[in-house]
Amino acid sequence: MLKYFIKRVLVLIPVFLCITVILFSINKLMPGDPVRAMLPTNLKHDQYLAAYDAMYIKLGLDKSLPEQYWSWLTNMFRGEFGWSSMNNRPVADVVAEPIRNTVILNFGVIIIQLLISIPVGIWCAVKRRSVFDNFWQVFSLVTWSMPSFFIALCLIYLFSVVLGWLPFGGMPNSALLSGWAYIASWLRHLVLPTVVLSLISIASTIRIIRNAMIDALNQDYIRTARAKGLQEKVVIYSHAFRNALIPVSTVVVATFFSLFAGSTITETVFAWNGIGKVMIGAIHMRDTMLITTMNSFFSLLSVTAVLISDIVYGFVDPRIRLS
Amino acid sequence: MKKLLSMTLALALMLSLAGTAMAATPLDTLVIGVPPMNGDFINGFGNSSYDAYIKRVLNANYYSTVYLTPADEMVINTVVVKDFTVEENEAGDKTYTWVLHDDLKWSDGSAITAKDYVFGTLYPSSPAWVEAGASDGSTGYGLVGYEAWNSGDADVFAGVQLIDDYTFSVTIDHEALPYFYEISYAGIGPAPISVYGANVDIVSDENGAKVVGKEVDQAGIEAERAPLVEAAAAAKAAAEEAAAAVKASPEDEELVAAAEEAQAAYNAVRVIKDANYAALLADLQNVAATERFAPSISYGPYKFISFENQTVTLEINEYFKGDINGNKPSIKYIVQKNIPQDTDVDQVIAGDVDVVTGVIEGKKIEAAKASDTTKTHSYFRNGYGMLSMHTDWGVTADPNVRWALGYLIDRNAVIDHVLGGYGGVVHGEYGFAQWMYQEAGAELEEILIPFSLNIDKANEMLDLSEWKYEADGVTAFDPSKATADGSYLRHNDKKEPLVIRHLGTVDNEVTDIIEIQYLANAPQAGIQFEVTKSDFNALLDNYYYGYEMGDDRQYSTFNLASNFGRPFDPYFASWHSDFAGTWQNSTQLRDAELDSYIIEMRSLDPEQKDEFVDVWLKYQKRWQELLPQIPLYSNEYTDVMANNVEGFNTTPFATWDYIICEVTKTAN
Repeated sequence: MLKYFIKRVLVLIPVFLCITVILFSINKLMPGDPVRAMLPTNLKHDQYLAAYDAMYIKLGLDKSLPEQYWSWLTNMFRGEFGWSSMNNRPVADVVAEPIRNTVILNFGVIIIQLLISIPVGIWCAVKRRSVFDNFWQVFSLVTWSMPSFFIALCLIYLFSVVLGWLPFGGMPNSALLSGWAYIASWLRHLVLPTVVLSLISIASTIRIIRNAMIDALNQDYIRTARAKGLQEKVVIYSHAFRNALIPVSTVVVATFFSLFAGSTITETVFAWNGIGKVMIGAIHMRDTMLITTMNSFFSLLSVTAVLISDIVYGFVDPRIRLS
Repeated sequence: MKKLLSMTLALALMLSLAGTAMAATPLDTLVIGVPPMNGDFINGFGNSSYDAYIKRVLNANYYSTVYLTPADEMVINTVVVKDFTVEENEAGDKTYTWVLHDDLKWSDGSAITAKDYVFGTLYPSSPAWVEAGASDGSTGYGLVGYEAWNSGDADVFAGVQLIDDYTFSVTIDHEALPYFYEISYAGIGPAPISVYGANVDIVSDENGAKVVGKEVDQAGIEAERAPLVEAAAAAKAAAEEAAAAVKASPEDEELVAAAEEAQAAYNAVRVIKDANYAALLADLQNVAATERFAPSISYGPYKFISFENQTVTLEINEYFKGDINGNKPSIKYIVQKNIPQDTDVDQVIAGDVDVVTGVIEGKKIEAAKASDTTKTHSYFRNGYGMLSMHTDWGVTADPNVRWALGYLIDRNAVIDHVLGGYGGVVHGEYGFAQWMYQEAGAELEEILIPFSLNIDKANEMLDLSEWKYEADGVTAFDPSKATADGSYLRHNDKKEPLVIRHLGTVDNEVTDIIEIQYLANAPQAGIQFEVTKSDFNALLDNYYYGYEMGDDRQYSTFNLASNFGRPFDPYFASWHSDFAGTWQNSTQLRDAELDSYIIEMRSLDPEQKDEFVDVWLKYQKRWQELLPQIPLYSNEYTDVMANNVEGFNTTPFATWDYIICEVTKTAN
């Protein structure tokens, strides 16, 4: 198992480096002048020329491309993520709060997603073609097909406009609220975006789990287990579910790593100050350093997620680690 | 099944806890909904209008010696100024000596003194402020010694004097006079030297005022400066020599490269960076890193509490003396927060927020007017949306082509479809709210051409340009042969087709309607009109810096919107050819006649209002003849507010931050 783990980690390093080279190249190929994007407005012409020269050197653009790449990469590992031209401050300062807000939002989504989709997916497979199964099939198909902004606007109309129960969006205000009032405000603001994201993620996860369970339940060893007289609960959870865990574990691992992934549309509709909204703003404003840094971060997360999935496979399926 | 049922019940319970009926906003809090903010809350950083509201309510205008009223008038601020004198010397320089009241205080209770006012002039005009990463706001422009101080050549600002704790003076350079807005040069606001310049002090003598480091040995400063001054002088001489050589042989690439290098070398040493400069720079860099995001001190009616998750919270400044009318704020807290823009008016209707300002969409305005829970307040924008054209390059360098474009768009359709009818058409560089229009609007409308969609006129204008031929470059273009598919285009005698490339932004209804109209109308005048949509930064890049793009330059027309400066001075709006070749003259317009009117307007005495209007009329006529921009619409802004918000009397010149002391909230 250790050899397997080390092999997977060693493969990860060149993959990540390749991704950083691609991202860096895309950054360099993007149109627009990165120096001008960093300069303040309203400079007189002479000041502009002087500031341009100084910024050109400060950004290291006078160096060769390989030197610039190496400098960028090593700075990233030192925690220096560069300067956001959109906000005129370090990228780390810009993304810290949005990442926290995205994690908070996604945490609730993930809990709801796993709590509902795993048992429902299992039960749908067990009670195939029953009313319960049919309901969830239709539900997941409809929800998965609808755009998230449409679901969001419907919920806003119902709960904010008609009923007036929940806020339209935005974030709670820590300056004027404290204690339970502040927590209640957080919950109020979290409900609608959490429900939107949960509905969409539940829809896809239920189908994956249901299909995996159906495959497992159709296997010969399940018939054997039942013939042995085992309780149905043991047959489902100890035998079928255990063998359906590979695709399920992929979903679970990916779900946990999506903690940091911003939901651009939902965050924009609800004005949730998350990383997705910041990224879309960065793209509109051509904040290349912020885009590149965050894409590198998401790439690292994805690659790590793949690594952890592979390791989990090894634990779940002994055949994989033995081979 | 039981587990699922109990989980559903738990979820419903949580929802019910979180989702009890939403209360209206508290009476002691005014909640204002805005698009996303950048989080820059002091002058010199950022260009977000929504950040600017906060900047101004904290530290602008209220304690300036010259106050800009919501009616766009400049008056002496008697809240701040106890007395003042104006003296003129033999050279024609005018010295304004301000005597301040001694009861002005910062939000921390400390006294505001003349030293704060002098520091408020010196630091933003110092090159150290630009080096700290800020924009140059032109504070101190027009005063004696400004250029030398601002460029770093001098370590003293000759036209500023600190006289005593509550007295200071500023001297306007005779070369900047006469100036119609003369008093604006003497309008100075304070800056907290105790916070922004904790390690520096102001020293003033007959040479002027300067910033000195508290820990710096002043006795050794001159010896430190001497070699730096010498090096700068040498670099300047080398740069001037190289520039002269290029002027003599502009085609010599080696000389051009050498001149650029010499200029860069001069730029690097131009600012004399002695120990005093270093002390000021260190303080200002600290300001840029801290105060910029969370101003700890202010003099305005509110003080800053926090900016978190796109929500700014302000609290009443108990030490605020009052606005120009003696009003003090009555609402304890102001919360300005980012809200979803698609539903901004719905949120006011629902009671989530108290106010949204600057609504332009007709449907939203109608919804607000129809609601029982909201009221509206409308006013014309002090600006307009336009199709702006580069006049130095490409096909739009010809004013006949620009006029043709003016005749190829139905501007009323823009107002109807984009603004829902809430706006008006203007035919020049003016707005309905400007005092000049208020006085001479009827006369202006008579002398300007009220151009509108007219294909025949467009063809007439193009027949006056070089684009009057068919593809062979010889046969005259025949408008009757023009087709909607654009297969019959105008050409010049070099057989080049008339192609206009337009750059607009995505998700912009104005860009969409420009595309629709010009793609339909332009072929009828033999023009191939191509529209590219990009992000806003790309548009600004191409618009402001097209002149230095060389062969990469592609676009000659752009659509965006702009406000008129306050006070109205077309020189600073950069229509003058002095700014051609820089980003400031965005259309790169150069016209001697227009220049003459600009200079004539600003050179009048402040009392010569009638004369100003007369020249302004000539300026407008000439501007329209040149037509560097096609004014597409002058919006009508509507502020939507809850019924219990009173006194929200915004104007074209005064957003909520100017009038907040008049605003109250009543119980429903």
